[in-house]
Order: sequence, then structure tokens, then C-alpha cells
Amino acid sequence: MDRYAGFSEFVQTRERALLRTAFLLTTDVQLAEDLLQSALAKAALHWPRIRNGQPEAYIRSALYRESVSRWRHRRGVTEVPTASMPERAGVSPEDEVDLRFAVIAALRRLPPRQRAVLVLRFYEDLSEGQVAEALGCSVGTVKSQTHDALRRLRSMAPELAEFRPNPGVLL
Amino acid sequence: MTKLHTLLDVAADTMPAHADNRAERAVMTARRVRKTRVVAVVVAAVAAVLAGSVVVPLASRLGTIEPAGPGEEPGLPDQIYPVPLHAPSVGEGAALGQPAAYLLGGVQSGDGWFGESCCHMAVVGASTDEYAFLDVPGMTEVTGGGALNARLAPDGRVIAYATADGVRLLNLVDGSGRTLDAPQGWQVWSVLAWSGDGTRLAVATGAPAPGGTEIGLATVTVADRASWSVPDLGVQWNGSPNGVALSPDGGQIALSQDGELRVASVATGAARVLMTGIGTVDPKVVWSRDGVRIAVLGFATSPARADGPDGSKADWYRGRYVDLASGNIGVFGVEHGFKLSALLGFGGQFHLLALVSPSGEAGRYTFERLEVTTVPLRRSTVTHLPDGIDPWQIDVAAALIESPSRSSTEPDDITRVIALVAAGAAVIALVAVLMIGRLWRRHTLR
Repeated sequence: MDRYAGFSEFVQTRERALLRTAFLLTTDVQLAEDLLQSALAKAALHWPRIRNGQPEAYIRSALYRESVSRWRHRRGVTEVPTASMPERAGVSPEDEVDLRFAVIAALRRLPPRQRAVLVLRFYEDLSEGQVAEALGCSVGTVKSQTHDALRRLRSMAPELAEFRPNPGVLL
Repeated sequence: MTKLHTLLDVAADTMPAHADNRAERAVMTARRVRKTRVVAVVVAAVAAVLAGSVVVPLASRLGTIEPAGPGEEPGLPDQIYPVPLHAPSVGEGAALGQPAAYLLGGVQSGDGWFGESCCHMAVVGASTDEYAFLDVPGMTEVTGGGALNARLAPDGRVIAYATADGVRLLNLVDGSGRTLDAPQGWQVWSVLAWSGDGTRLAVATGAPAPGGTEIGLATVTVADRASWSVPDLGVQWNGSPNGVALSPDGGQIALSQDGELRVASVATGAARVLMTGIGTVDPKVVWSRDGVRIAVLGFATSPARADGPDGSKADWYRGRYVDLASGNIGVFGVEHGFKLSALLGFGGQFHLLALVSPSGEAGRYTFERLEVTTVPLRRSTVTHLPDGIDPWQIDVAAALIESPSRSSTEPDDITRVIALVAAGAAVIALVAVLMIGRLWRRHTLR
């Protein structure tokens, strides 16, 4: 039996969703591509073991851990936060493109670990326990990181709070 | 769905949906990594084997032989230890640096002693517990089983052994060697005994004869110009390596055979029978240092079984000694529960060094000093033998039999340290290679 049987089909089905997650974790198209490719290579390496379980969970976990790990290794060359938001972030959130830039800019100013916590909690809709498991940390760490991330978002990008897709749910 | 989820979803739309054989590339990377892992494991295994095979032999040569220092009186050590695997080899050019107390033969299977099956021998120093393996290339087979292929000189300074050319003498103190060339047409099979003064050797020879090789018994002087002679003992010698002894001055030769003890002049060959009924199975003969007595230890023949010291009907070894001047004969044996197994030599007039072991079940062998004229026989332990030393293959420096035993200590067995070092090196090599593999893998995955 082919060691990698079913892998291509799985990737074709799920790569779009995984790529979106990778982008939110890196906020860079090229880095997201690389991150996903790395996670997929790891998954292929362990495919016979994970294909009958939850391969997507494995890949997502690899994405999050790798994104944090890469940031650790790239500390010396990482972007320096600026004192002010990019000019485009200040435009009206009514414009979707501008809104997108505003969100990305805000994400970029978060540390990778906080970014990963936000993506897991609010994009993947995982519980705090699941986030802790995915990132390999304690639930308390997840809570504190989430709190800090939201506080920083509010202070760094207050204009996002005006976005009202669904009244009643506040940032 | 939360507001933040919506915002993140909007941001994620930035990511274009294009894909270039992402799965295929991932599979190729995985294959590369797997191949790297296999290579890493193979390299690590090879490194581990190399570490073991290089470190152990290298370290095994680290053992050094130091000459006896001042104040270290020579004597038989009160304990013989198994020879450490790291003990150095001594041979020509590699000296022990001191006389040897014992020449040891090892059990041929599973003891780790090096060399061919014929040459499992080692020595222990007379003054210090320096153990060394003997490196004696060219040694020929012994004519009978259960005996050493070499003999230690009475002063412990020289080992004599048979080679194709004659008798090879290896000086343990300075590592020099020389050969006593055999006469034309002779083949020396084994060295049987030294004379007490270390001037003559009794050897077994083989010579072509109709229907096969004829076993012969000869003597040779250990002088610059070797002189060979063939004494006439009145019987055709049966080849027993234990049944021959030379007088202290080398002028006479004693032979036990066919239940008789015979003595003959080396020069004239005139033989006389001193004792009968000494047993027919491989009796052991030793000559006292003053030349006035000969002791014989023989396996009792059937009629003697009832005379066993423990009252049993079992076979047993019976010791006898004879005074050459008067012809008086004495008998000696050990008490119930023990048996005399071998004789190594005389100490004083009535002191013998003998191998004693528990009778019946296997037990620990000891070499004991026997005072053979007392009733019951008095004995005291000289040396304990551990497993790994064959009690039937041991020779002693006769000059040390009478001197007080010296307390000995177990030699430093750095083999364990060597093994730990080798194991550590192997583990480090393994970890290093795996780390390299891991780094390579990380690099590849990125």
C-alpha cells in the first residue's frame, strides 16, 4: 500500500482553509505559503499514523507551533513595531479592503503567540483547553495571552471596534 | 460567530487560492527526510561500532607494567585474580620488568583470553600484582592435555616453550629471547620441566619412525651452546607431560609411568625403580630443592580405593614421597571432604605446594602448603584461585614456594571504565548524528 495514499486528496480538499489560517498566523502571503508547506511536509512524514485520526488537527497544530517557533528563530530580523498605525488603517471600516488592511496591520503588531491564540480562539473557535493543547501551553497562559491580545488590539486599532457586522458582539 | 471572527475572516481573504502541487512537494520532502533519517541511523550505528572497536583496543594497550619497586619483597600472591582484559602483552621486546610468580593458563572457552587455542597464558609478577598476557608466537602443541604449553623457570625470570625450531626462551624481565635449536631431524613438542638450578630442561620430542612419529624424552642444557641428550629410562615413555622431573642440578631425571617411579642419570642413562603402585593415570612428579626427595601424586588404582582417606570407595589422589638416599617412603593425603589434585613443587624438606579442592561437588581451588610428615597432615592456604584460571594449567616460580606469601590486591580493572568510555563515545556519536539529521530535516522542511 502506498505510504502516502489519500494525502493528495486531503490536501486538495483542505488546503484553502489551511492557507487562510496560515496567513492569519503570518500576515504575509509568502510566509503563509512556506508555513503551510512545512506543516504539510511534516504531515506527509507521519501520514500513515495520522491519516486515520485527525490529520487536519495535526496540521493546524503544526502550523501554530511552527509559526511561534519561526518567530523565535527570527527574533533578530523581525519587524519593528511602529508607534502609529499605517495610514490605511485609519480609513472607514465600511470599505472592506481597508478593513482587511486594518485587521492585518493590527495582527502584525501582535506577538506571534498572541496572534496564534487569537486565531485559534476566535477564528478556529476552539476552547481555551483546545488552544492550550494545540500550542503546548497551560490554559492559564491561553487566558492571559488572550486577554493581553484583545487589550492590545483595542488600544492599537480602536477603529476596528466600530465595525458592526453583528450588533451586540463587541470586540 | 463573533465580530472578531468576522474580521479575521475578512483578513484571511487576502490569501490567494493558488496552489502548485503542494501535496506532491510535501511528499517529496517527506521522502527526503525519511532517507536522511535512515542515513543518520546507519551513520550513527557505524559511528558507535567504530567508537567501540577503536576505543576499546586502544585503551586496552594503556595498561603498563612497572618493575617491582624497592621494599616490595617477592612472594607468591595470596590471591590470584582473573587477568584484566586491559593487561598488556609481554613477549620479545615487551618485558614484564620483574620475575613472575605464576604462569597461568586460562579456560579456553568464554574467558576472553586472546590468542590461539593453544596459547591462553598469562603471568603475574613476583613482587607486584602486575598481570600480563604472554605473546609467544610459534608455540607448538603440547603432547598431552591438561598441562601448560610453557614452563616457568624456578626463579620466575624465564619462560621456556617449544617451537618448530627447538626451545624458545623468553626472558620476562628484559623481554629478550633466544632459541635452543633442536638437533637435525628432531621436533620439540613441548617443554616438560626445569631443573632446580635452571640449567637444564626436559622436553618431549617427536621423530619420524616407521608407522608414525615416535614420542621421545630428551634433556637440553640452557647454555649458550645447547647440549642435548636422551636418557635411557628403561621403558618407552608414554608422553605424560606431568610425569617428568629433573633433579636440582639437572643431572638426573625422574619419570612416573606404569605405576612406577624411575630415576635415571641424564649422562649415563642408568635407571632404577624407586616406587611402585603410584597409580597409572597421569601421575605428577616433583623433586625437592635439596635433591634428596621426590614426591609423586597419582590417581589411585582400583585396589587402593578402599584406602581412601575419607573412607569412601571413591577414586582419590594419593601422595607419596621417597627419600633417595634411604629409599624410605612416606604417604600423605588430606582429610575427608577435600582432595589433593596436583603438586607444584617442594618448598622445604617436607613442605609441598599442592592444589587442594573440595571433593565431590565443585568448589574453590586453593594452593596450599602441605607439611607432609605430620599426622594429620598440616596445611595452610597460600593462594586462592578464582574462576577463569584453570587449576590444571598453572606453573610456579619454585624459588618462591618456601618464602612467605605476600598480600595481593586486585589489579585495577579499567576495562569497565573503558567500556563506559566506549559506550559514552557511541552515545555521543549517536546523538551528534541524530542532531545533524534533525537540523538537516529542519532545514529541508523550510
